[in-house]
Formats: sequence, C-alpha cells, structure tokens
Amino acid sequence: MSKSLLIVDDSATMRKIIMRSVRMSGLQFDSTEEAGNGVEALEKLKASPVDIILCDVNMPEMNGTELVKKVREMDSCRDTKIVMVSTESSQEFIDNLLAEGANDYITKPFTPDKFREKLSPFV
Amino acid sequence: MIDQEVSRDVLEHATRDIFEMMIFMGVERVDPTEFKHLDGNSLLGTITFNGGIEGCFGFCCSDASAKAVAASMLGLDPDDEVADQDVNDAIGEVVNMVMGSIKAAQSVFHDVHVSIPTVIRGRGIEYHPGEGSTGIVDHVKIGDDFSAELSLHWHKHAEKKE
Repeated sequence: MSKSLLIVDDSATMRKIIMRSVRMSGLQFDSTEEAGNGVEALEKLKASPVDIILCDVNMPEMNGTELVKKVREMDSCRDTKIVMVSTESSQEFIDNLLAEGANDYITKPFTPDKFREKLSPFV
Repeated sequence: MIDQEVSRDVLEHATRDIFEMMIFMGVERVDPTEFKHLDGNSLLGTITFNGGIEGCFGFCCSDASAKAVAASMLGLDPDDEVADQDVNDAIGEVVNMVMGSIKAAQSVFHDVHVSIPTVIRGRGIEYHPGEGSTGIVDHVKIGDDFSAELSLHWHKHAEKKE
C-alpha cells in the first residue's frame, strides 16, 4: 500500500538528517515532501493530504503545536498520523502535544531504529 | 546550587550520546593542556536559556571539524563539499540537542526556556561568559582528527528590588 510522508522542520539540514534516518530505518514511502514551517506545511496538506507527518516543535511562522491543531481541524487529514520530533522531552510537554492531537513523539537525538519503532504501526 | 562536577558529567554524556547516535563519531574528553587551540577559521554555536537560572551553552570548533561533523550528520563522505549553510545548521542542531539533553538530565534546568541556536564564523573566535557567571569549560576530541571546546555557563536571575 502506498504511503506518503511530510517532514516539517525549519532547518533544511535537519530535514535531510530525518530523511536519511527514515531511509536507514528500512521504511519506504512512495512520496516524501518537505516544509520549513507550519504555514508551508498547511499549504502542502491542503493541496495534497499525506499519511504521516514528522514535525518539529519550535519553528518560526507557525510552530508544531499550532500545526497539529490546524491539521486536526482538516477533514481531509483526519486519518493523517502526526509524529513530533524535538529536543524537548518533559512528559508534561509530550502529554500536551498528544492531547492536542499528535499521535506520537520522537526525542532528539534519535536513531533510525527509533523511526522504525514509532512509524511502523502507521505504515 | 548547581554542582559543577555533575554538570560536567551531564555535558560530557549528552555530547557523547549525540555524537554516537547521530553523527557516528566518538567523543572523548581531553586534558586542556592537550587541546589544540583554534587559531584559524572557526565556528561558535551558542544557545541561551532563561528561567530560574539563565546562561548559555557554547560549542566552538575549527572550520574543518565543523565540516566533518556536518558531512557525517548528512551521510556524506568526508571529502565531499558541504555548503556553509549546512555546516552552520549542523552545528546549530548539535548545540540545540546538547542543550535539550542537559535540560532533560539536570533538574535545575527542567523549566528553563531555550532560545533558537546561533552560529557565527570567524578567525580567533573565543567564547566569554558574562560577568558573575559560573560554569564549566570542557575540551573534547571528536573522532581521530577533530576537537571542540564546550562551555556551559549560568547565573541566577537577579532578584528584583522592591
């Protein structure tokens, strides 16, 4: 079954690192898009919804928490899984993101195995 | 009160974990007397924090060390050309992740707000903490050929006078 992935991070380098880790995890996606912030991500999602979003938290323009809220308001993305990726690791912070509608959370630093563990249930 | 030796261990473990997990390079603390000081072009990545305490974490290394770190993070060969922006971003991510790990590992840092990292390049760059700061400076060897200076400094918020 074909799956699509959107990587949202304001650092182009981190997007490449995430992409590399996903590839190394052995998971395969038919299409992979990138966005530099929440606003750009929303535009891409309106044009074409994806199956999985990997999303940074601290970003300019629109941060990850706001993006999660907006995506959860979109009918076209009701089945989209959102996995947050951030250095922030307090349980309270993670619980808040999950309450807003994120499906899971990966803490930086990460390994390819972590992507396999967190994304496999959605692929 | 922050125990400097605990902070030194936390800083060392955080840096080692990040380099092993994401950069695939070993990190080992070296004696300051063995550290090769940076006299050519270098990069300084910093990230500030504030809350109950405020301060700054800095990562300073040679241009060549920074390029090697970026190449390894991006899965490139050491001889591949790496764009300056990618090198800056990679060092910014290193300081961001080290600060995130310190924040998670040491309770006094749990509630601080962390800035977006800043990276500057230049010749003879040195990191100087503000007056009244306390902290630690560590020197590390990265892989076989590279090195960096890590600095973590902090001071308590000045209490407002009535």
